Amino acid sequence: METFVEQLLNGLTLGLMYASVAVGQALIFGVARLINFAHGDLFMVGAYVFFVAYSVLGLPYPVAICVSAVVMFGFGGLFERVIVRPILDRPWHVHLVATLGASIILISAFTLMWGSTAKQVPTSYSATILQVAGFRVSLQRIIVVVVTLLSFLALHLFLQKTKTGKAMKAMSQNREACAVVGVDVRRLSTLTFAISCGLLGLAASLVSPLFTISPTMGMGLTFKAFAAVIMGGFGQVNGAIYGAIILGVTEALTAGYISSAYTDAMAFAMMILVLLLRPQGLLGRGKVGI
Amino acid sequence: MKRNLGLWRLMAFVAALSIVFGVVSCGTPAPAPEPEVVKETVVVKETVIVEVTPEPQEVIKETVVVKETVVVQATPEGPKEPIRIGTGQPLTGPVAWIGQYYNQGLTMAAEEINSEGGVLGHLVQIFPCDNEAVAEKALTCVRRLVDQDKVQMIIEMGSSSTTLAAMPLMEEYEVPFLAAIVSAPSITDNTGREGGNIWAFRSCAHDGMTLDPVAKYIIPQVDTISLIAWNSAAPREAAEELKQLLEAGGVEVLSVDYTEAGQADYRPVITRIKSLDPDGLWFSIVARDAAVFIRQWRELGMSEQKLFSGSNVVGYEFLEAIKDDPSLGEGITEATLYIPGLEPDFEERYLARWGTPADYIASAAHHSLRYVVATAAEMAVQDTGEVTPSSLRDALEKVSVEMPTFGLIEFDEYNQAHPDMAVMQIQNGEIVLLETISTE
Repeated sequence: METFVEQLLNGLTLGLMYASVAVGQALIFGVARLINFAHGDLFMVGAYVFFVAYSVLGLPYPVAICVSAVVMFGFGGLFERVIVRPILDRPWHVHLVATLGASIILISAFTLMWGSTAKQVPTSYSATILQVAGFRVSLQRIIVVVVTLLSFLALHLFLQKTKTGKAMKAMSQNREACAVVGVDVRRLSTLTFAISCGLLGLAASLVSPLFTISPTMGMGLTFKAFAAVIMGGFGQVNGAIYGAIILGVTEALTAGYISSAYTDAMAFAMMILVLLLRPQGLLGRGKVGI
Repeated sequence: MKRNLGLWRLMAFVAALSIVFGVVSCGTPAPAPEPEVVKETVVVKETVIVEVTPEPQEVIKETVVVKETVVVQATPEGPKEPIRIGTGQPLTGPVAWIGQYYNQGLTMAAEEINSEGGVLGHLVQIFPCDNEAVAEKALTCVRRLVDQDKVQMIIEMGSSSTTLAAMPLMEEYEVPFLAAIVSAPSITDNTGREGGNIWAFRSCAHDGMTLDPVAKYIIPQVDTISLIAWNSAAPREAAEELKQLLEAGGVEVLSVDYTEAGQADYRPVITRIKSLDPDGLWFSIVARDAAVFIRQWRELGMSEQKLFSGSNVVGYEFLEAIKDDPSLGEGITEATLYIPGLEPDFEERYLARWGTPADYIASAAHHSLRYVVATAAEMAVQDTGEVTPSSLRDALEKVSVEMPTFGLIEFDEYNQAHPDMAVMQIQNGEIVLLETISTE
């Protein structure tokens, strides 16, 4: 029983990591109606920004996190202006090619700049092991869970309480109507990408000390985030979080009780199962809207 | 006008991208040397100038010039046909780091050979091809290297699966192939002089040769063990074979797990192993991932188990990755083919050239060209007066060369070499050689 609970906790932390990527993906799809196949690679960019801030420039960890989030906020806006905006009104297959192309360019550029050798950025928190309710866990992992949950809460409040957040929600329901009543849809689209990338920068800074940083680290994450978004219901931010947690728990239980060689297969099988039972996704209502 | 604006934006974007890549490329070494034979003739004149003005800054110049002069002296009748060596590697994708190390090792070996005047005056040119560790792309690479680049030989395909896929085509093309790092035993199952593929050779040991001594080393130390291997052809084969050897030796194998390259979270697997409470763990995970694995292993409080590794975990890359807490690697023992620290000269040159420490892949790539292929090429020139695929193949069969750290390299009737291997252990953050084992 103790092992089962530990595996559930493992799955929860893994799921929250996926969720931190999937949330931005869901937000972008909800507002801009675009599936961003470079999303995981933007996470990779955030990880390298953190690496430069923390390991190269030697900034304190909290400052390096802020630097990564802020730089990625700006990079997200730039990404939208350069890559996304010119193709936003084009068919879905143009979105696919453009964002896949951006993914390849980002991976190649970072391989050229940093090489393909993985980098490690352990912090003092990752080496500090705590005993929580009988389970051994690093302080870094607790920081990941707490800060990720806080960032989700902040995003939720932003979408529910602020004028801009409400405009984003409205835009996710009817883009044309928003444009007619004077909502600056282009500015909101840019802001959505900036916020999503800011969250990616934050997430990358939090989890990088636990794992490694390499130019290809985002490839798998894109598809995991994509699966979580599909499971949660396209464009549903909360749904993406639930989908990601289901994904993480499925992977942890598969690795724990069957074999880690089948984690991906079981995770995507779970996605198919969810879609068979609820084709619109966990929180989907048959139409898109964050 | 709006359309023109779009065009201008596109052009501006492309120009900006070009500038970025241009700037980035400035600091990036070329993947392969492209020796300019014409330049070498010019250099001889410079030698005279350098000799009459031996100022401190020009002493360096002098060293370079003297080396290049040898080429001209050795080839009075003009430049000789270069030796064109192809290599298929994953240069992009999740295991691109393998290709990076491999190309760096090969490039460095070619530079060294060429700076000494080449192989009896024949300069070495390297033609890398990105196969992304995908079998179909490995076939494309072979076709491109032979048909387009006109290589006389191919060294390595980067992984066991790509090697197995490409070997029949290389045999069809009658181009010699040397495997230097891939370890699946099946690669040399049907090679050699007994009616097999006579064009394929392997200078490194395969898992069937290395696992027996590994098992013999582990068996007296543990009663129960868990195994974890990278989910790829060779490590999977190795884990299965090691399981059989250990069980035959009386060790109970409690679990066998496979992990993906670049996997981020090992806690679920470690949690399960923790519940099984084995005496030891054998893990064959590449060094970059092994550092993440071992952090999570220690995070879950695993400290009693004896740790045995595969895939060259015990090396500089791993030590670099855990340098913030070297005790993480304490006691990890590995029987491997590369012995860090035994070739300080090579390791220093490699570090100076590429800015990263050498590892097994880089060393095997460098040595396979520098010693095995260069020796074979020299024999081919002496025997036939030229370097052709068939003369190189015939020479490889007769090669007998002492390779640093790997020992004597000779190919048996299966075209398989039997390099030495060593048992090493991490002690106090350093690699300690425990014993040397023969793979004969």
